Amino acid sequence: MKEFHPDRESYEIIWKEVIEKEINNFMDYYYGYVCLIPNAKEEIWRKYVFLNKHCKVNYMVSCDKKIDRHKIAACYMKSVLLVAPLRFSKKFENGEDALALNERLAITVGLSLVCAFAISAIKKQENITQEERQKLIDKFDEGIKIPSDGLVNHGDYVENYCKELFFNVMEGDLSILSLAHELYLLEIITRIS
Amino acid sequence: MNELLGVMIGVLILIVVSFVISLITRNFSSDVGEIKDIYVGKLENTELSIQDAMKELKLRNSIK
Repeated sequence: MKEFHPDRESYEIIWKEVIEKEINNFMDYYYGYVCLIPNAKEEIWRKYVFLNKHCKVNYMVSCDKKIDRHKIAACYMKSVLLVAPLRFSKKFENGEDALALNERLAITVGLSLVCAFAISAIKKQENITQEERQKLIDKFDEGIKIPSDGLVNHGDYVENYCKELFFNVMEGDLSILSLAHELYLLEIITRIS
Repeated sequence: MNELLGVMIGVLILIVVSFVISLITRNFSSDVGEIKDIYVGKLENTELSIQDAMKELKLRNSIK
């Protein structure tokens, strides 16, 4: 059956399985301090449709055909970052509000999508044995491998990633292609780890 | 009379030189434009199915 892109049906699944669940995790974790903006679901979708079209028209050979998985995930990440669905409803007692809520949410969305696409692609991959296939699926099923220990020189990888996204949004310099490239490299790290 | 002739020749030389410079610059710009088109190109599309991938989607790399 022909798929129409951007695919609203897929977004309903992404919202239900990933975005909404992670938002609820944040709201449970920071109960009373964090709230969701009105109409967040539709705002993210609207922004995604715009970014998906921008990507196809400006970067791709054909604007009528599909974009690859890393760009789809990057467009969703960027739409979450630009909409910033999570806000603080009140200040913490200790005065510290430096939590990259929306950046962390965007990373979870991007990595969850990359894992889903990777597993789907591995299941269709023909040039590997069943054993290798299952091994790869198991790797991605546990989530994207985050560089740690000897691979990180300073600070926590995810924290640094959040800061990068925050400053890029602040400077209006958040590139879909760069985000997609980062996701691609994280997928490769997971695959070869 | 000679002074006027000198000024006129000077102006004429300036016009010719400006014209030649503009031609060279225009040619150079179009070369750069062509090189840019050849160099950058565009990215390949894909045939992946997002709906297939959605069957594998679940919350991963969560804060929990």
